[in-house]
Amino acid sequence: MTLFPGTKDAVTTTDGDTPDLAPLPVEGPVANPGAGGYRRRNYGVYLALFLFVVLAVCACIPSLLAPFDPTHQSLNDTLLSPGSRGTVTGLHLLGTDELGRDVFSRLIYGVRPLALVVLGSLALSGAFGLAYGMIAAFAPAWVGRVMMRIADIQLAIPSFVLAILLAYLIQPGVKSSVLAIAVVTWPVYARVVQADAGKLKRADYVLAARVSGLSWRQVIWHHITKNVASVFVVILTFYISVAVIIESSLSFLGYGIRPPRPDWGNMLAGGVTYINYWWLAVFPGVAVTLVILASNTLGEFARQKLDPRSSIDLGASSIHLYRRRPNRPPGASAGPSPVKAADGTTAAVLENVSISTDTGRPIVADVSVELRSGVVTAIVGESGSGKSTICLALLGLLPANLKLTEGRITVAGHRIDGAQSSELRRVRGRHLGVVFQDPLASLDPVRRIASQLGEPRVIHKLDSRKKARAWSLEKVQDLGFHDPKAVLAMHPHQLSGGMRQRVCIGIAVAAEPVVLVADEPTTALDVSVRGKVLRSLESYRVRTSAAMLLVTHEIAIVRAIADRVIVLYGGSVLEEGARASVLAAPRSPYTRALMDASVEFDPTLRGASLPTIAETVADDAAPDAAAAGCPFAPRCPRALPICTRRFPERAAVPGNDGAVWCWNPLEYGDE
Amino acid sequence: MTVAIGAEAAGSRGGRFETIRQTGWWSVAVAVLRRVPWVVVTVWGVSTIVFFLARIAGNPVSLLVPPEATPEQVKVTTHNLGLDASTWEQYRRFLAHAVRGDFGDSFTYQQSALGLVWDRVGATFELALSAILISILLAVPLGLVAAFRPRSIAARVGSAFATLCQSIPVFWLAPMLVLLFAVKVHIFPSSGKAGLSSWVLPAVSLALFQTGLYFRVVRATGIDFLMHDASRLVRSKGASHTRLALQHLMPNICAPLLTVIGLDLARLLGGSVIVETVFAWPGIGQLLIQAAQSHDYPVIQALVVVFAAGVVIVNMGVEAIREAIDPRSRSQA
Repeated sequence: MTLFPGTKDAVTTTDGDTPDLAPLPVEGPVANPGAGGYRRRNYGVYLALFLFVVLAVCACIPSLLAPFDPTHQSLNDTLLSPGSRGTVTGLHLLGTDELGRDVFSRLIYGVRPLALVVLGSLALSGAFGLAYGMIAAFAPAWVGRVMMRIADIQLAIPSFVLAILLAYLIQPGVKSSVLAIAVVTWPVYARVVQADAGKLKRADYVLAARVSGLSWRQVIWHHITKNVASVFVVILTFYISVAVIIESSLSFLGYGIRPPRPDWGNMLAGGVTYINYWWLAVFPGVAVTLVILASNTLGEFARQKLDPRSSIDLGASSIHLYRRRPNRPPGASAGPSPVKAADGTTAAVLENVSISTDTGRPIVADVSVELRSGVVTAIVGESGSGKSTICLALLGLLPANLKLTEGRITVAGHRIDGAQSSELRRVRGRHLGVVFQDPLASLDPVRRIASQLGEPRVIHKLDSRKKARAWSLEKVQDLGFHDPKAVLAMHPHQLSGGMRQRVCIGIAVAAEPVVLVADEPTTALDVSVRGKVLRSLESYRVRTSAAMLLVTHEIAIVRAIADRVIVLYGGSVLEEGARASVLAAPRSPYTRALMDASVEFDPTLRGASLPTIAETVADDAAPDAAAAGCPFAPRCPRALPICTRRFPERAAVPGNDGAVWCWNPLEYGDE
Repeated sequence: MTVAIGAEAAGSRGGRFETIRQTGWWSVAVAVLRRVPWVVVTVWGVSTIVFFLARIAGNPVSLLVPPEATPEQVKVTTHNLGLDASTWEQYRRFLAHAVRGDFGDSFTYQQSALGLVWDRVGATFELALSAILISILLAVPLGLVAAFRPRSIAARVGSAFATLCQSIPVFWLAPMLVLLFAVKVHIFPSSGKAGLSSWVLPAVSLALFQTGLYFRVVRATGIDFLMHDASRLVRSKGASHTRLALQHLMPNICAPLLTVIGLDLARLLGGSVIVETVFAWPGIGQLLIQAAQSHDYPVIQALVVVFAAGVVIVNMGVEAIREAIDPRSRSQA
């Protein structure tokens, strides 16, 4: 069969420099949603900055922009509408007020008190809050607690109420406003600083710095100050708008800047008195709103730049795969489909399935899998090989950025590809049960086990809600819990990892599906509970002779329960066949390498160096998306020139009902 | 023997789990009781702040007597108010009276300050509650749509609306609503509290800011939930979008939403000062402005304490309810 003879030893050559079997980027939520275009250029920030520059000019040299003296009264020209011309004065762009003063000029002169109050109060409260928060974070614990409690007490007083109180006690004006805003906002800064510094104090890298001999003073300076500073700047930027609101509110109520000195708040108060002359209330309001909008925009920008931890990256898909083979005419080189038409024993079928991202990069290429009743089919491969994507495709739950481009998927006689969502819902849970990798993340954190376990039976109308509860009790017993009633009353976080995963299995089989998909069911679990979880899966299959698809990267698990094995690499099937023969005599060099690299407990390994998959090209020899050949070729020790050019044809492996896709497969002499 | 199967004999942890806590209303009651001392401490702290602020700011007598008062009058007033005693003695008396709910008599209304505040609390409470309800009714459906379809037009419109909501100051919004719906078009009355139509403008003015806030919370927590495995499992059960939204997403959103409602309450009550002033709404916000204008010091003191107590008590209730809804917050407590 093979074109070129070779030895299996060639694959396992150990190279001290090469990393082990996980050198490739890992799929998962950490990955950046490669497909660009989610993040738009933020022109709002430029507009906001421009507005602040204009405001700065207005505050510094108002006479430059204002056409009139803001306090000059002209009783012949009272309440002129915007754009009218006064009898003596000239054009009033935004009209005049009840005393004939120019609204536009008053708006411009109103910037200075606003700016003074906002900057003054931010500086005062920011400095005090920062110092207070830092002291609270690094003082003895009880001192810190008392300090924060004091800050909390003050936060309980609504800020306007406190500000009015202060302005009432002191003569209203710039000073009272600065003081009032500073007094009502400092606890917020103190809280934020204390929380952040406290968190950093316990962060691993700060502890590491401590262990390496730096004094607290050095640690605070080098590690904590910088981090706290960014959070502090973010919150300070956001509080520009809060300060603006309080300042104008105080003036509006008569407790801030008082007439005749122009201020947006007191102009608005006058506008309310003369509500029929709309321009008096509209323009100052628009001005305040614009400033608030601009400071919020700036705050949002500062947060994205300086404190990315707190911003939610919208649109990021939780599943990301990174490397694909280019478009290969489907079926052309992969040969005829190995899957027969669905007969009585076929529970689910994927035929020549190709999946790619919305940007056109293939993730799964021409994969065919047949799941038969009572048979455990294992898909093995490393992270990013497309295993989980295949599971999601079976469910019809591909993330929004992935598309099924070719092939058919059928589950229990229902077409999945192209199906209406209502039809998909009838299949999911009822004909196809699935167990995901992380049981803690999978279970709804706020619902009790009782309502989650039997839910598929309620959804698919197998049971009433009451009957489903009775069923759940029985099921929990089946799953081997000692105190079924207590378990049903619990929330997921109260269970251990293994218990959660058994609950998930109970959910997957609740509506007695004919296909059970388990996507790395034991990866997130302690080694000690894996057996129990696998046995729960097995027992369902044995009882109902359902078809099972087991996705894993652990050869040990495959050896334990699989009947058939499919080896996936870079989105393509490289080998398939009966478990015994594939594991005993792998034909694909990749299968061989995968098996050698997975460390199983074996006393003879003591003292031996552990094999890895050789990197023959480069450290990050991920399958090249532009290459047309076998995805494993760049790392394959048996690669031939043709391997990088064309994907190999399917080659049947005699006597094992299997096949290999390789130009230069391993051969075993005894066949 | 393989690792996976071999290890199972080594023992499972199946029988051991965390202690199960009692849940339900009993736990809410316990949570409330545990916080009562904190409420007491806060109200005491607030009264102390108010008391000493007044003393730091200067002799209140100068604010309480007319500017043209003779030294005799000043002396009499000082004595009547007990201000000739030492500061600590005054503080002791203040506390002793405050414990009994006695903040002195109002200068302008000639009745007990607390009683006066008490008569007005209801109107403010009703207004705040209706504003919160309006916000929830607007923000939750909009936020859910934005979470389910983050890139749809509805989501973008919702986000823009939320940004606008949070940028329009209430002291401008309220007069604008009056201008549009009471002056230009006579749909709603411009002030007072009489009949259902008089509620609309004040409640909407007060509701707008936190509508944007709640929208953001619902959208962010919704997206967070939908992006993670829990929603995938629910969908793999064959659940419809409706079921996912109502049975799983909503319970997960409630806890953070409640927290934000509680934290925002102080700001909301501050906003009610302005709304009540603009609409002549007979609540404690309007009373505060009136009392400040007439230098009615006992009323101001009583008001601040009542405001603070309201904030702390509602927050206590919110935290207790959140613990009942979200079991995770309980184990952290």
